[in-house]
This record gives sequence, C-alpha cells and structure tokens, in this order.
Amino acid sequence: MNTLIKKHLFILLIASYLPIACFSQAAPADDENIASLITFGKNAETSWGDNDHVQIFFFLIPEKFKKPVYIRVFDPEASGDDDELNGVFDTETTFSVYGGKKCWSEEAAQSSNPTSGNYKSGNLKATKTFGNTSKYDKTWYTFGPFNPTEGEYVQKFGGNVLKVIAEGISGDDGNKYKFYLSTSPTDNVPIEGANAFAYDYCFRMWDDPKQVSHIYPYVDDKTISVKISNFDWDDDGFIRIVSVARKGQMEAVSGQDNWVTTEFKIIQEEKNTSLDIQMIKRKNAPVKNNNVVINVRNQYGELLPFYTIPIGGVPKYKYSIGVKQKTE
Amino acid sequence: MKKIIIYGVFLFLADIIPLNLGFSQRQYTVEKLSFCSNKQNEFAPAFAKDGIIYCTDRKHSFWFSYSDTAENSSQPFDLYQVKLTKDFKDYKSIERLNLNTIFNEGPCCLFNSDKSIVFTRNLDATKKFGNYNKKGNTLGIFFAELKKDEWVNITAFEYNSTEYNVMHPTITADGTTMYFASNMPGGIGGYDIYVTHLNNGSWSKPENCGPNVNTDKNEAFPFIHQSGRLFFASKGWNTRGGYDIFFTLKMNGQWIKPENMKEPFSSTADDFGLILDPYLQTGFFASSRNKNDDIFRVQSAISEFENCTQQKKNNFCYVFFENGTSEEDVKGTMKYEWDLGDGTKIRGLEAEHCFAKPGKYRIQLNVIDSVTNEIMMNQAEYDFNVEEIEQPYITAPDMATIGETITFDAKKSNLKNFKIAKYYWDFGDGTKSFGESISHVFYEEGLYDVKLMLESTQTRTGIKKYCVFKSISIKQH
Repeated sequence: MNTLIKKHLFILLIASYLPIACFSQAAPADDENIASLITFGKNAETSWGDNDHVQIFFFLIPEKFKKPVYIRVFDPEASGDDDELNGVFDTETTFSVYGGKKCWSEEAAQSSNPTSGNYKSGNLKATKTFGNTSKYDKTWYTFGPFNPTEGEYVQKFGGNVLKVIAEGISGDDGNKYKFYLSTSPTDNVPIEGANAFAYDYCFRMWDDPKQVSHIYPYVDDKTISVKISNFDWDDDGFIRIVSVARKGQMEAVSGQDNWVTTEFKIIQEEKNTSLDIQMIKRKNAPVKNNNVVINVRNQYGELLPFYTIPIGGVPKYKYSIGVKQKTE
Repeated sequence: MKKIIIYGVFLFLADIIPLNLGFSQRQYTVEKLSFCSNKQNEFAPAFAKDGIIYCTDRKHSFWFSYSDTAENSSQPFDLYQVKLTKDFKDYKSIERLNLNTIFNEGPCCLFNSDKSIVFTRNLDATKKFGNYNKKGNTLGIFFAELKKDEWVNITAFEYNSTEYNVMHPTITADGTTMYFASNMPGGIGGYDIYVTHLNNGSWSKPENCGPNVNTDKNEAFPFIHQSGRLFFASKGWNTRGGYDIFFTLKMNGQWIKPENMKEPFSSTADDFGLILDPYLQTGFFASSRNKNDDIFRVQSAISEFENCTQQKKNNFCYVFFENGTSEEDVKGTMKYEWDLGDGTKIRGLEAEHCFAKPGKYRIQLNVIDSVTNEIMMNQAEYDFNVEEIEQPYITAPDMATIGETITFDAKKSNLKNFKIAKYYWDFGDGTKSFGESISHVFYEEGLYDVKLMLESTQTRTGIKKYCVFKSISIKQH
C-alpha cells in the first residue's frame, strides 16, 4: 500500500470518528480526568515533576471549519492557591501560539525533549508572558482570533494545526493551567470535529486517590510495539493499559525524579485504535501535589500523539464468555 | 412317519430358571429355499461350503426298497449338498454325497474346517442291491474324512447300538464335544439329547443333558452353536403343536430352562433342525408347515451394528472463562465474578461448575477491578443451553449379576433432526433384539459391550443410523 493510500485511510478513519466524538476542545478533556496541566519555572528542579519546563499542545481545526477560533488559557499565572508555590511566587510563564508551516511538522515540536531543537517552529501568532499577578487567577485568558488557515495544514489530519507552547521562563513555581479551543473569545464554545493533542504530557495528578486519570495515545497501523516512559511518578500508584484487546496490563511507574520505560507489543486488534493509559493513585498514603510526565513511543522511537478526545472513542475491552466441557 | 426315526424323538424335564435371553424372534424373517420340492421331504440342514448339506427322501434308485418299521416308506433318506446363490434365492447345483448307501443317511454336521463329517446312518448298510426288510437295523453315528473330494475312512461311533438309535450328531468346530439324540435306556423319556467328549482319541460315555433339556417326550435335532447355545427340537416343552424349536445355554455349568424360539421358527406344524451362523444373522431350519418337510432360510432383520462408539456419560460440568484471557491476566488486576444462572456465584479467572440438570442458564460475568475496587456488573453474558449429549443413550446399570433381569432403556436417546423408527440391541452375548425398552439376562460372567443402534425413518438422504455401546460387567452372585 503506498503512502498516499495510507494517508487517505487515516483521514477517513479520523473523519469517521470526529463527528460523533469531538465536541469539546478542552485540554485536559473530560475523558482524561486530569486535574490540570502544569509547567514549572525554568529554575525549578526536575524533581518537582517537570523535566523540561516546556509544554507543547496542538489544536486541530477541521478543514471545513472557516470561522475564527480562540485559544483560551485558564489560570495562566503562577499565583494563588491553585498553583504550586515554591518559596515565593516568582515564576513567569510564556504562552505562545504558533501557526504556519512547520508549526507541527518540525521534528522538535513533536519531541519529548523539545528544547534540543526548534520547537518554536512556524509563525508566531500571539504570545503573552504571565507573572505572579492575580489578574488571571482562576480565570481565562484568550488568544485570538485566529483564522484556522493560519495553522499548518496537515493532510493526514484533514485540518489545520495551531501550536501552543507554555514555557516557564523564570522562577521555580509550578503553574497549573488548562486550555480550551473555542469559537468565542469569552466562552468555551467547542468546534465540531476539532481536537487537541500532545506528544509529551506534564500534568498534575489528583490528590484524591479515588480519581483515575487517562491519556489516549493513538496507535496507527504501522505500530508494532510501544514504549511507555514516565517521569517522577514518586511510586504513586499504578499505570495500567486498557485497549480494545487488553483488559488491564500493569506497567512500571517511576520513582522520584527518574524515568522508567516499559515496552509491550501491540496486538493486531489494537491497530488504528487508541490505548487507554490509566493512571491510578495509590490508595494508601497517596502523594500530594504530584506532577508527572508521560510519553509513548512506537518501535521507531516516534512519539504517539495523545488526543484529548480519543480517536475511536474511549477504548473499552469487550468481555466475552467462553465455555468448555469439563473433562473427568 | 418314517422320518421320525431319522428325526429322533423326545422327552421331558425339570424346570429351574426361566430362560430370558433377549433373543427376539421378531428380528428374523424366514423364506423357503427354492430347491425344496412339494413332494419330497427336505430337512436337517448342515452348514457346508457355499450352501448346505441336507437330508431328503428324493428317489435316486429304482433298484432298492428298504423298510425297517411299518412307518417307513420304501424310500430311504440320503444326504445331498446344495450350492446356493449369494442371495439364497436360488441354487447353483445339487449333488448327492458320495457317502450315501442304499440305506438311510441322515442328519449330519461338518467340522474340522469341513474336512470331517459326522452323520447318521443305519448300522447295517452293507447290502448294495435288492429289498431289505430286516427289523432292528438301528441308526448310529458315523465319522468320515474328506480326501480328494471323497468321503473316506468311515468309522462308527463307539456308543452306537443295535438296541436303540443314536443319531442327529452336532459337534463343536474343534470336534471334541458332540451332542446327539438317542432313545438309549436310562433316559428321561422318548428320545433325549446326550453329550459326549473326545478324550485322548476316545469318546466319553454319553451323558444325558438332563431335565432342563430333555422331557418325557422326544427331543432331537440338536445344534450346538458357537456361543454355547444348544438349539434342539422338542415335543415335550411348551410347543405350539408338533415339534418346536427351543434353545438353552449353560449357567454355572447347568443347562437352564429352554425357551421356545416361537414364530417365525416355531409353528403348529413340526419345526426342527435349526442351525445359525456364528453371528446369529442367518441360518436354516426345517418345517412341515407346508405339509411336507421343507428347508427355510432365516435372516436377521437387524442390520450390522456398524460404527458404534462408546456411549458418553452425560456430563453437565463445564469450565467458563473469558475468551481473551491471557497470561498477563493471571497476574492482572481484573478479577472475575461468575453468576452461573442457577444461584451459583464463583470468583476466579475461570469458573468450574456442574449443573444439576439440563436447561437454559444465563451466565453473567462481573468484573472486579482490584486496583480501584470498582465492580463492573454484567460485562458479558451468555445464554447457555445445557443439553444431554447428542447420541443414542442406553439406560442400564454398569454392573449386574448372572441371572439378573436387566432393563435396557433407550428413552434418553437425544438425536436432533432424527425421527427414530427402530431400536436395535446387541447384548454382546450373541443375542439381539428390538424395542425401545427391553429386558435381558446374562448367563455368564464377563464384560459385555451392549450396543444400541437407532434407525431413522426414511429421509431424503436415506435411512440414518447411530450406534453406541455401553459396557456392562456381569458377575457371580
């Protein structure tokens, strides 16, 4: 099968799921049940849970959508009781919106170690640095409007991609925030068929041990095996894989300020579906204010995108009952 | 009736255990052999290559007349061999045996792979021509050997007598045990059946087979079957008229009370001289049901019990499992709770369960997440039909004792899209029978494979058959 046909298949596949699945472009999204994204100031130790102080998110706007869009950030400042204080709040975080060629397709932009390359690829469309004021504490800041065509058109996604980079440029506090792709500058109004994704997730775990967070990497048909790497988990619970063919495979979790990687083979039925990577808190003495990083690579070392709205829906293992005669 | 002398005469008995061999006479059809004439008598068939040897009074010479008693006609009996077509409908040839004389040669039996014969003949058979009316020319038993198609080396049985008749020999295949009929003194009455054994080249003194074979009337025309059954004709047991055919066998070394073979073997006329093949499938006997004596072929209507498989025990025990369970799941965090639809709940990766009876059960799988302690109810369900195994089914005990009446029942047979037309039984002791439910008695210790074959009604693809067998252990009391 040639590349062109593969691309068409991919587009068709995504297109077939988007109308029923994608109506909310919050990042993190409801299905992920992630407390919030977090980026630390560049002076913070990695042991705080952020390995590079940069978080990159992509927003996909379907090709047919022509109206202006806005990228909204909730609580973009590192201040107040909803952010992670380290001494005094002295952290500045820059949020930048990129579009145009290479904004997505640049290799560094899809890297787990973006600062080693040109992760700020594409055309800078808007940027703003937030300090320790409380102006946007627990409220939304809106970038835009953007014409969807200002993003990088990606044929295999069937739409235009805008990139948002959150970067802790100073200080050592943790800035917790959320994104929303909206058609309104003042409200969160979803775009039908839109989605958001990232290749490397740095987020805050829930303190409540009953909460289970999820990320949904998409496994394409060329994926044979995947490696899941997680950072600074503080041994706080479990990582479990659920898929259409896997009912709950446990993976290793990292300790304090280190990476752990585990690998497993992809089952045929899992191709062209999403995995559900469940992050389950430890029940006894759960770690509070635990910030972690996770990414997933294929056998080529390429990062798999985590869609906030999982392609194909939340994967669920379908149980079925077998029976055999008991022999004497 | 002269033939009586050749046929024998009979006696009386004492009764003991009623014979119940499950030998269903309904399983046989009879047909008169085509070579039998309406004028002469043909009787006393004996198995021979490609046909039978039989006894007849058909005239073969104008130069001799023999009379021993007032009953006798002038025409003596001779032995002939008829070669039959494969379907027994016709015959290829009839040939007079070269051991015949101008006197009576009568009922016989081949043995030693048909290279030896034992037969009945008048003791004084030396005269070659003319008339012979001397009384007291009794019947005796003689042996001969086949050499170059000639019966030679004719020797007399050492217990022949000029005082009484010794006749109708039947001998085991190895030639070591012989039964015959005689009116020798000391019997129970009339003609009795006797047995003698060959020891070191000599025959033992004949023993009367006793009151469970012989009556005060005549018993004659014995036939010892390979299975140990003794068939004979009797006028003294419960006959339907004339001679009827009976059979008995030994239990614990004793003959048991004989059973009338009934129709189609026995009739109100004289029926006698039954012989049957080792499988009790085909045979011959003589009957005067058409006035004079003719030979009839009997054929079992039960077809061969082919492709019989051992009956499987109905087992309502099953193992339920989740189809996608992998090794990873063994140490995984998802635990299963199985609701088996009959009130039973089992926790585990697999659920082993035996249902009490056939029926429909809804199996439900609840999944317990041991990490989150969440219970996910009814993640899968399965309407499971517990059925008896699709097979003919023999309901019978696994063990029984000698002489015990055992009921064999086929009512639990379970065959889909199969309308049962006939039930056939083979009890493994040489007897066969019909019927959905039937009683049977075993008379020897051993392990018997009892077969049940079900035959369907006619279908588009013909008649279908299914056969199973069940092993029954028969022991002494």
